[in-house]
Amino acid sequence: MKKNDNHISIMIGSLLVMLGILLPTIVESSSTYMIENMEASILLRDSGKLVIISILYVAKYTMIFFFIFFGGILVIHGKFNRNGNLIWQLLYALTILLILFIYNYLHKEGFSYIGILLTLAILLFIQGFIPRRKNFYLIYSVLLFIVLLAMSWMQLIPWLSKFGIGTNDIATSLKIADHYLTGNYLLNTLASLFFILFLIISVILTFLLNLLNKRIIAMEKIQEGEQELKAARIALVESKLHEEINSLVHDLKTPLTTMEGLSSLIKMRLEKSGETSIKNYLERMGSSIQKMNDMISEILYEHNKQPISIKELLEYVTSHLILAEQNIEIVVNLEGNLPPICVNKIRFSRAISNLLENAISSMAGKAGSIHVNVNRVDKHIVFRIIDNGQGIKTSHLHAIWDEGFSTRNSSGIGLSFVKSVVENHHGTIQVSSVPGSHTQMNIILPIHEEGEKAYEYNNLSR
Amino acid sequence: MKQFIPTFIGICLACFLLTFEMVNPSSGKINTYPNLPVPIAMEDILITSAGQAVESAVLKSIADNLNLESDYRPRALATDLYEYKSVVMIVGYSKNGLSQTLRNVKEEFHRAKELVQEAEKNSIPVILVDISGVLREDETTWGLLESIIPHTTYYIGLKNSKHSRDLRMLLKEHHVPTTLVNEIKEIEVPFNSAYR
Repeated sequence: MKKNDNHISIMIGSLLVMLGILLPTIVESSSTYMIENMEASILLRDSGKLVIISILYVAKYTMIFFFIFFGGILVIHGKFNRNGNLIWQLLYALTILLILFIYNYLHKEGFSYIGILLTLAILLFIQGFIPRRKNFYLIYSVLLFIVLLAMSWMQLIPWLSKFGIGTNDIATSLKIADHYLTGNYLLNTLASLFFILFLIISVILTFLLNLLNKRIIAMEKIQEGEQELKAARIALVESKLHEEINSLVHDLKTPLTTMEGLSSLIKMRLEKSGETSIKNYLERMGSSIQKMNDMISEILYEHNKQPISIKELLEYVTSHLILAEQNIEIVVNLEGNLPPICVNKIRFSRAISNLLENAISSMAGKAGSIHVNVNRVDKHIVFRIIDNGQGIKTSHLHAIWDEGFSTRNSSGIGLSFVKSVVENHHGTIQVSSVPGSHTQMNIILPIHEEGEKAYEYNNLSR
Repeated sequence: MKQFIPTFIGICLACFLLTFEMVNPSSGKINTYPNLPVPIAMEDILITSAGQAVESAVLKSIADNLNLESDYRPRALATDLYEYKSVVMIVGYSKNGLSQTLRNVKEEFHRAKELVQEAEKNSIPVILVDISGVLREDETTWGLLESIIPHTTYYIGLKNSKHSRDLRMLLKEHHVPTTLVNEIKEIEVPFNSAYR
């Protein structure tokens, strides 16, 4: 729980306790009503009125004690932030006893501490079974209400008076009136019945809650296990798929090598015969084969990088982009004299493409614009991709880099791939977004100085 | 099991307090009357309260049942005595009952004391009734008993009472004829005997 929440909890709790203490003064008219009707009940010998007064009594004191007990738990929870341990429970009990001592002192109603202690004992017992989850307060308030109903009825049981229970003024008056009118038959039956009924309800409810909680925990464990299993399966499938694709792409190199060798052979033969036009065609064919070979190497080996001008890279990316009849304008702004960057062309292009495709998707079929600005900042090249689409929710800004995270039912690997490619180029990627306004993705790449090792694993491709 | 320690402490404390709350049956010996051999009072009766507990109305109900001429005036003053030939005072302090009047506890003490003193002065018998038994044994009720008993002609109460030893000693000291009953309804017989 955050510090702010703690303060709110203490504040609300204190207010509830104050309300509970002051409530008898606020609803003093209810006492007048009860006293007047009790008198009328005795004079008219009408025990029916006693039933109504008993219900009113239970309602009034259940409400008062509800505010005190619930306020007390909010104060203790906010102050000590420890829910459920031994010290916390003792502190709660002491706080409630102190508050009720103040209540008794102020109102002089003479509530016996035996009844209060028994109520506390039942509540602390029940608390042990309430799950410490987000609905704790709701569950606790329902159980508290039922327990307090039971305990308020208990105060009205005449045969418990000899044990010091139900010694407060109105309960005493009710019992004496009932003694005269029915020989305590009415309250002994009615109050005992309701006391037992509400106590049983609270016990059953606690038992069911405990059972439900155990079920939820078991289900959560099963779900967790299932998710782990699913993740492991996906990882296995992906790894196998990756292996398959790699071997397939690798297999492409074999016929390419044959084609390259044969074209060289034909070229040598043609050189001897002096045929020039076919020789030119063969040279262009050889160059294309070489390019294809390089591309395959870049797909296969992510550390395989080569210097490329930013303009060429972005032209390559935008030429492969499918705008599918959407009215989207892509504006590319490049700073003058930008140095070439050393990247794995295929992978880095794919990363930029992913960002642009995401930007296009965020337009949700509406017209919009995407600005791609590239600048040099110190020893870095900064790619800024800004779109005026729907934006990303602030709560999602961290999660978007997680593999599998998606709000559009896609695979959710696009942005995690982008991040891994950028990091593989010793760069960083940042995102900022205002929902409903825009999203900005910044890729910051270091510039490789001349002479620095730029070709990694180049030999592996040959 | 550790989590149930506070519950256990709460129950133990409640049991501990219970030993103090339980009524001690041992009480001082006193000679009581099942009912008075001769009437001591006459109608009209002023039925009033000392402490404003609502159960004062019980005596009015009993008086009506016995066809005794009576007025129920729980807040009656000493000046109201001129039209009555006997006073029945029901003792029992009720915070809520007193809050219905404009008096505080001290003023209620004063009113009750003044009323019984005035009755004594005018030779009007005062019958003191306590039907709250173990239920109202606070200091205020006991204080009221202490101040009224010396001016009482006849006392009717319940047998079951925590302060019964002190009460019996007090009644004995002031030579107040006493009748103790088990149930509130049993008051009818001794109450009737005071008038007929």
